[in-house]
Amino acid sequence: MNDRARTSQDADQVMDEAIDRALHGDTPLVIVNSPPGAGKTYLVECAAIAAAVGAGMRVICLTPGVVQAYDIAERLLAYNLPRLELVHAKHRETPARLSGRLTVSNGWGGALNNGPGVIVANAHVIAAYRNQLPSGSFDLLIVDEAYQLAANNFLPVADLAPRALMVGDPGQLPPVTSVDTSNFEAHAHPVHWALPTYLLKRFPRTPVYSLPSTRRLLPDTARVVQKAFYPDLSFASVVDPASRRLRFDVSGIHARLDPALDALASGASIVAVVLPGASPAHEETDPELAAVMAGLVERILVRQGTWVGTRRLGQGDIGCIDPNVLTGGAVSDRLRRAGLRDVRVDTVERWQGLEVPIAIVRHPLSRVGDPEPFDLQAGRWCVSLSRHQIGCIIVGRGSVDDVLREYVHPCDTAAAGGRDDVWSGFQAHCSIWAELQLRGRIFRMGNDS
Amino acid sequence: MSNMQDTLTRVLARHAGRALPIRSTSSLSADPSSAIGIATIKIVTEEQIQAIAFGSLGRAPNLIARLDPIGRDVTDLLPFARFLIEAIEHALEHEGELRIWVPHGETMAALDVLGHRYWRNQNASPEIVRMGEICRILAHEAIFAGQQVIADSAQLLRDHAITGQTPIEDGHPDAMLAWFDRAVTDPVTEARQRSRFPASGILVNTPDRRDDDRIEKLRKEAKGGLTAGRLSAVQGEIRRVLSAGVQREWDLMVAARAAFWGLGLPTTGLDTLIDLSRKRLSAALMQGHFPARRADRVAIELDELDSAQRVTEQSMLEADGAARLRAKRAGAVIAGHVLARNQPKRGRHPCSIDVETDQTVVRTRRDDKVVVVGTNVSGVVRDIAVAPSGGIRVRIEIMNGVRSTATLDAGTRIEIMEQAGAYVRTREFSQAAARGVWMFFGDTPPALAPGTWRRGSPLAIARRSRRP
Repeated sequence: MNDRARTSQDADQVMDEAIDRALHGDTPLVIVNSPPGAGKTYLVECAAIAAAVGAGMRVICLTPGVVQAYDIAERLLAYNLPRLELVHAKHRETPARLSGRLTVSNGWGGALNNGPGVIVANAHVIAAYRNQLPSGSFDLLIVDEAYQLAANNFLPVADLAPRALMVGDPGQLPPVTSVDTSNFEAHAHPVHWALPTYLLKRFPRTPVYSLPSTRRLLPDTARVVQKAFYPDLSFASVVDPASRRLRFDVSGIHARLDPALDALASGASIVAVVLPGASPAHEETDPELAAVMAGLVERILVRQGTWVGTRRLGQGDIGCIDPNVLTGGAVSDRLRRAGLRDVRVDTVERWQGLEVPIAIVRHPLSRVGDPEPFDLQAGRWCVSLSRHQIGCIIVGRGSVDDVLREYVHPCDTAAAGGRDDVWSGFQAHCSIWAELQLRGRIFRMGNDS
Repeated sequence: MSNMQDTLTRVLARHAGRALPIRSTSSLSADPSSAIGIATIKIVTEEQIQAIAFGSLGRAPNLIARLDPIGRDVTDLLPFARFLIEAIEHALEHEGELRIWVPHGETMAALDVLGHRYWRNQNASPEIVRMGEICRILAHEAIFAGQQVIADSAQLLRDHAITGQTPIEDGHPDAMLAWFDRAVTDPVTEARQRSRFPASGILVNTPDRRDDDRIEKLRKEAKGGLTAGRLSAVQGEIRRVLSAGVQREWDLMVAARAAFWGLGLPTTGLDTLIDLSRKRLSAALMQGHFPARRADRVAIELDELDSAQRVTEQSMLEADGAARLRAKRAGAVIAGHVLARNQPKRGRHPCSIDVETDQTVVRTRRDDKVVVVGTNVSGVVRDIAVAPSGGIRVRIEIMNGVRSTATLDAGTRIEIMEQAGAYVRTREFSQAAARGVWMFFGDTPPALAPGTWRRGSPLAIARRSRRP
């Protein structure tokens, strides 16, 4: 048995143990930490099925957002369940992919939750109907993407079941909040924190399981991402690089863009393309950088990029990740003009939880002026660099080197007693960039080309 | 406003030699007749207030110059305490109507510290304790977006106008005011001159004017067994320097207030914010100040802050065309025309409209609740697609306002923005507290009886349950 197979077997064992303890153990809460692509949703599926089918439990699966609830519901449709119900807000329409395939309720309905089975919903909608749901209405509460759910949003529904299993990725974006929470950082109840983080602060002896492997990231990327973003969560890739090979049927002729693509094809799963200089100071977007991002998409398609043994890559197999709506809009515009309307361009927040064979990522430090906390946040950069199954191309400006070299960390980015996510983000940025430089993965474009 | 827009507008202001408005409406409602002002001077190293100016606007302020601000005797603060209590009682009689002008944020920080010092001080008189509580309530109100009680004159100017200097230079209220004063012909030079002296609630202490050092020296001298005549002279000098310092702060506030209202921005569209602010303030003044300590109270406060933020953003976008234009660039507002109205029975449900925009960036998502700006029409986004023209087409199911044909007819130009969800989950959080949910209110997790009925590996069970 090779290392990959052993790690994969280890992962199954961890999942089995975590689920078993959540369903039958003597502790009311179990947390599972998971790196990107480790099979979080698979674990949630298995826990829900084992509880409803194997133990005859009434299960509720809660997610931070409704889109995640739709995804879970769709995944659970692949199983024989005594009951599968979806609850979403009154004003929502059921997505076509789910319509007619399961019981859907707009708001809580009295006929729901009769006997063993699974209800899927987002936390907000269940909280709104909490007065119709006495404590212990369910036997098991599963929270998927638990690190994206703020503890305050879980508070009204926390006692719906005597047992809770929370699954999530501690390295990704924290819950979104629109208000300044710095005054609450050192509070005894920082309920704006991610739910597992808050609970582990209160109850540090809560059983925590860590999934030891990623099934999405290639070993090459996994090493870089683990080192930079998950110092406390050791994991390795169980992906066989032979199953994720990229081939171009047309040779490269474009001196600026093709070398990076050829590096991907040769097995480097994470590379960077760097334009000289800095982003233009007097424009809201960086048209040149947007052109490079769109150009890379075009070259992948023109050169007939193929996922060896699987399929030729189409527009839907390439995603552009841009931290900023406006600059992402410039990339979309370029792609539309090139007739490539099916390439998804979105912000990091919207890419969270998704995967794509090839990701083209704008480096957040390719901006005018000093970096803001938004640009340095580790979670945002981690999500950007962990969506790809085959390859990730970071597109940035040469000024990134200067920004990393000259950055002076302000002393007011974290409240006294609070964690400094901006500093850890800066360190992650340095780690990634140094790693890419060390491995010769940064392809610098000349001034004259 | 993006950095680029900010820079360009500053260039224009520099060229024009005066501040330029960046909003088309005011974020602050008109002053009530009972509006008052407060300015302070603190000891830099002690966070103690050593002088206060307070009073009704339009009149000379009352001044308190404290001879011994770090002493335990606080009877010198009584006039301020009584004034504040009277203002609050007036507000309570008038449904929370209160407006307090301050020169800048540092004044609120100083009042907050003053509040912390005395609101639970059992050795202080009831009036001083109440003053402390009121200060804490006011400082707490000031953190809510869109609040209408505290008017931070420097911040208001920064929010509504832009000068021809850098943002960091705008941090000095007096320097910023040079760009609003029509009598100033060279605001760049004038602003630099003014910025030599601090305008942040502390005494001047420059090489050529050492007010702060002088006060410290005089206080030491006053403690040293002086003759009655000398003591009186020293105390008089302390009062004179402190009074001049706090009067300067007051004057700054008055000038900034005049400059703000001088922008002539309409104060319409703020009714919801006024109402929210008054309710919060009245409740706090009547019930007292209780900082959130339990999980449910913190959760409620976060919801209140979030709700205020959302309502403020929606109010600003609805009322302010300039803000809407900026939001449109970022995709938060969709400006387009109605391409088609799908309504089998005119004026009745069901009704949907297709809106086409030439914007390339829209933030709206499927099933988002939206409103049509300036109308009673609201609905839910049902589809977003790329239009053949290259723009974006949005289908909206109309929920309210199906009779508004003037808005819904094909060809009408409309602006759409997200509807603010501003619900505070007070009941939900309070009920969770009453139930004593262990994760948030317990000290230890409850122990469960371990289950004994197992059917093997959970993953194996899942695999067996998979449909063929």
